[in-house]
Amino acid sequence: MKDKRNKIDDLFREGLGKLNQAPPPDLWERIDASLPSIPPARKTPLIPRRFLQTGASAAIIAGAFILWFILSKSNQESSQTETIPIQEQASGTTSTTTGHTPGLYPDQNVKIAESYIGSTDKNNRANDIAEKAAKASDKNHDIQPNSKAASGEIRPLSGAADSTNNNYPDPGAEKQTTYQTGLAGLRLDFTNWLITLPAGQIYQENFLSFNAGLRKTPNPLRSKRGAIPLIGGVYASRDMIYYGTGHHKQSRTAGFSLSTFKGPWEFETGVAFNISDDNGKFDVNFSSFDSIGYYNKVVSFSPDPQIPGRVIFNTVMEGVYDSVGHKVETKTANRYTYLQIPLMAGYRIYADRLFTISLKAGPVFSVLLASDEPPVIFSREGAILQSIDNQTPVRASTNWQIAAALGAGMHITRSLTLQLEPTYRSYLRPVYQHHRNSPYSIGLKAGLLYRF
Amino acid sequence: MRSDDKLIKDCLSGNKQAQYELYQRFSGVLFGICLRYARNRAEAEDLLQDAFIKIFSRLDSFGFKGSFEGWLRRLVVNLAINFRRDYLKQFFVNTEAGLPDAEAAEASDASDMTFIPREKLLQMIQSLPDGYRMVFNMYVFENLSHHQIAELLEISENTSKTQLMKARKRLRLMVEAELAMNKISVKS
Repeated sequence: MKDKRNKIDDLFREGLGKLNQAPPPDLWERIDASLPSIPPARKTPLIPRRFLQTGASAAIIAGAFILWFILSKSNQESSQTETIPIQEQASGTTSTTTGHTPGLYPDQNVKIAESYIGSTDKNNRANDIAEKAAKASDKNHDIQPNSKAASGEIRPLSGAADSTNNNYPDPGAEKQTTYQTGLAGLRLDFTNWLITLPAGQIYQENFLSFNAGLRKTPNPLRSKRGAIPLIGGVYASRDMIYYGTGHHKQSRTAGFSLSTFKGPWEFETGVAFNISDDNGKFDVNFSSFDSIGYYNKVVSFSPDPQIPGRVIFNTVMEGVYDSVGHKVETKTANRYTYLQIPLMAGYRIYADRLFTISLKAGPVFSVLLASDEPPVIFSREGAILQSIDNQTPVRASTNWQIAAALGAGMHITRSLTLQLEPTYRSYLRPVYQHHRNSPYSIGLKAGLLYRF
Repeated sequence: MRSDDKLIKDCLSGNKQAQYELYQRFSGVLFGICLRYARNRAEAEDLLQDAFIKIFSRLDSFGFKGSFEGWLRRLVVNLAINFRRDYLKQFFVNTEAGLPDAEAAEASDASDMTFIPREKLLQMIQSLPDGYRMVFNMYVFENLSHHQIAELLEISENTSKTQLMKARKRLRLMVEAELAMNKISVKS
């Protein structure tokens, strides 16, 4: 039990218990200079960040799906509204018709459209159509000899060119307006504009940069019969790892990938080397011989001649020095090398001869291969090093991550594909031992794929 | 004037003005603690500087439960203890001799104690050896038991008692010297 009655204790407790002394005025400046720039504390968002990320991913996926759906639907529509140039073989004249054109002679048009849709070979299809158109033309001659379309011309939608001489339409010519809504309408307008251009001009003006012989090559994604398609690749990526509490560091990865696909499904694995940066933390305790004050040293004393019995002390001021302890927090630059093995599965949401877009997800296993943790080098004049406490958290040797990526590929040749892949990774376990925060990372991967 | 809670929230959002206000509000009382634990004023300033850096970095761990000033005081005391703990261990070794009369010795009268200025009292505490000062502060001002002190400083209870006894003994001598000095002055 404590000795509450102790007078010494009471004396000091009463005297110093509520000691309140203003620190020197410049201390705040020293503190302020030592304070790290504190980022504004994260306000609790109305919607948690992970939900937002999931929502954004879902929006991207949904957007890609809608794009794919619209494109496929537009292609369907285009097959119904496509303008077919018909070369009249016998007479040498050329006419243009359209499946949707509410032309002057609906019966003939329906037949032409049906024959076109039903045909698979484009050349044969054109020949068939040409023959039927020629027949229709003959009938037209019979039925309406005064018609301007006497040579088998069936007027296209508004703005269509006269394909006989590749001229633009006569502004004074009768125009037929077709009202369509939404994307189908846009598509139709584009088609109408397109058919005003001669075929050769369209290719030269619009497809020269993309041509590169690719349009005549087979689809590079189409696998050879009986063989498992194999795609090898090299890639590099740069990520930002967010460890929590505002701490984030960069990492770099380089690796090889091996992938295959079946239909729209893709499977990818490989091996990669990752270098992650981080900080080492040390508390350096040292002491320096500092002035800690002074005292008045009595050098002599004598009785006061004026006041009997009083003693006069003669003093000099003496400085006092002592070893004063200091503690400084120091950071070093550490580097950790990991081996990573991804196992990704993906779904190709869009593909044509030039581009592919895929959604990928899967686990990534990582093993710590090497750590580069340089020690603290302490050097200060007149200071004596007492101790260095290593406060660097120990890294876990293995980890699992879940990665999600949106892969975009551009086919340079039939075998080579340029790949660009924004990637999000969520660590399943903390990277530091005895820590609770599991980091996440956002990065961009770029690589070159080769189809064997 | 902002409430403590508002002040903390503003500090957490990185508001420099709020940080300065928090410093202004509590630096006096915290500097008082630092002065008691430190050997001198310069060391107390260093201690206070470290304390505020730690306060601002750990402010988010204050759960808005209980007294904020109490939380600050505990943080500073812990910092002061840790500041010297490792260094002190070597001074606590084999100091248990002469323990039996430790408490009895305290009973000697100091009834003649008159008013001694705070500055003098502070000087006396600061002039104590580190181990004595640490144990005396923890026992007298933080109201910690010898068991708690022993755990915090990683020493035995007996060592803690011995240190306290020696601290009191030395302080008493200094008080008596101070009183004698006053008497000389008064009488002369």
